[in-house]
Amino acid sequence: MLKKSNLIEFWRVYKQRKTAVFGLAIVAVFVLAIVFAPYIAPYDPSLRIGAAFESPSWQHLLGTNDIGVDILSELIYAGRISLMVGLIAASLVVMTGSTVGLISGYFGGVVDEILMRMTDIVLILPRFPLMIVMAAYLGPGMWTIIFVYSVVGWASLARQVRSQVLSVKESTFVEASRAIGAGNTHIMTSHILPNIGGIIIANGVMEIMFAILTEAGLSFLGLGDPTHKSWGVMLYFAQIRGAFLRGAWWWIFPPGLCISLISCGFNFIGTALNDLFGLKLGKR
Amino acid sequence: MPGNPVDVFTGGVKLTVEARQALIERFGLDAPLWEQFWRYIINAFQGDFGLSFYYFPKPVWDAMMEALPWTLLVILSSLILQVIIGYFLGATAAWKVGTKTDSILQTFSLAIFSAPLFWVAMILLYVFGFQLDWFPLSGCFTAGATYSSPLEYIADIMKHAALPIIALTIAQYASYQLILRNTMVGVLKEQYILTAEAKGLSESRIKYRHAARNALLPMITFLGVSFAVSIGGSVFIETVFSYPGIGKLIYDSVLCRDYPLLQGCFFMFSLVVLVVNFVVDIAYMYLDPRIRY
Repeated sequence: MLKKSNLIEFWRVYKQRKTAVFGLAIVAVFVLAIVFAPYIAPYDPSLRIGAAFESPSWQHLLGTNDIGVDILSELIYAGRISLMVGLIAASLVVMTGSTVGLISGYFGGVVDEILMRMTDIVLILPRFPLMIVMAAYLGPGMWTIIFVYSVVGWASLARQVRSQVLSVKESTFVEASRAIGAGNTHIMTSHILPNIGGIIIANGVMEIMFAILTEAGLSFLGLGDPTHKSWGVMLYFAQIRGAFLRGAWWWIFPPGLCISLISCGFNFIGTALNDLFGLKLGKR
Repeated sequence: MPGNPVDVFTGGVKLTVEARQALIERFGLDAPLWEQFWRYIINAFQGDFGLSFYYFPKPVWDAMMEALPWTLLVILSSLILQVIIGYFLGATAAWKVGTKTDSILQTFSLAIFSAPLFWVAMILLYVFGFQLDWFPLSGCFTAGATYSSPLEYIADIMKHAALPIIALTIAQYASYQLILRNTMVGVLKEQYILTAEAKGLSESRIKYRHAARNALLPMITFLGVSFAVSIGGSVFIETVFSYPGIGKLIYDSVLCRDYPLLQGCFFMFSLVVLVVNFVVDIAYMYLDPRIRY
């Protein structure tokens, strides 16, 4: 379904939105920074290369933390973990959510009823406390966070996909396909999925933002992996190791700013995609 | 649960066999698992969530009841502020739809939506607590203080609650603004707005009385969702400000592996969210007589 001309046309519409281009630029900068982390980071973030709580200087642009690690280097490497968790968790959520939504919307009846009641239960429970309880039982760690996020996160996407499937299901091309004897799997994967793909992608991008924010939050509560430091884990240590008392603003501000910026980037992209694909679907 | 509950409770201290047996019996851990679970469910519905490990021998219920008012104080005050701010900014954005004011308001709310709540709280604490010293750093009232009047007591409480409330409000007002704006843009196209303009009514009267008021319903619906989100947010807010509400209890129980307390708090939060959603549904019926359940 992706032709080159389609992509060019898409980019022409996309680049007219200032916020969308800005969002893409932010994400691109972050991705470049973490891919080339070893070349950009001035020091090795696993080494104590300075005194504790050094304020920013030309030697250490963002100062050092309580054990003398260069914060700028730590920040760049932490981006890898944050972004990786975000991408993995979001892909899991997109896979489960769209599968549930697709099956539920397409088959309807008892299957729909069961799946949607499950969705209701997940949606009504307070999201963060539920994840905290599950993570506390499973024990802290990166994979724990990815797991609990995917278990809780699929429900709202499933609802949206289902409602899209319900409208596409009624179109004449689906009816035509069924008339010539196409099977359910064929109709779902070749006719329905391509038509709701845009909405899924737009939501997937938003999911990355939610996943990054959730990872940061859970890590901040001490449910992250202290050996794989993400931005959230950095803030957790800043909170418990006296960054406030020492007035170490250079330890408190940058990690949160990175989280905000990259979420903002994904948010802008997601919002733009949602509008663009929404318009396309509305025209049909 | 990682590890035996008794080990968790004693923090790994070696016990005599008798003491260990006594503890196991005290917590009812000798019964089969299904019976323990059944007993937990039955007791939970009677408000008995067992004893806290960390605050032993305080019952979980008592610990929660001490904390709940503080959480509700912060969440409800913040919800009121969120609605008010969202209402005015959303109405302004919708009124100026398509202009620079609208796009700035929209972009700003999207940007603020992306900032992690706990970080917003940390910055407020750093700037207004540690650096400027305008607000207290932790707690819900000054410990050991004597008050000459009830007013002074209330002022002290509000001073402690101010930063948590502001942090929660900043992090969450944006949704209300977006919702009101999107509904109101539709309302502004209605004939009765044109009529109001033709009658020569003042701008603010049309904006707030005729347009924003009729765009309120989706905002009310969102109250239920927003309350659930705020409940989650209270864990972070109360952790950063060491504010002794249910959120802080959850954080502490995670740190101390106090499973009875953790389960109790989660149960309590879920219950509160269900009740609030129910109340919102009922309120909706009164506000929009077309809705019938």
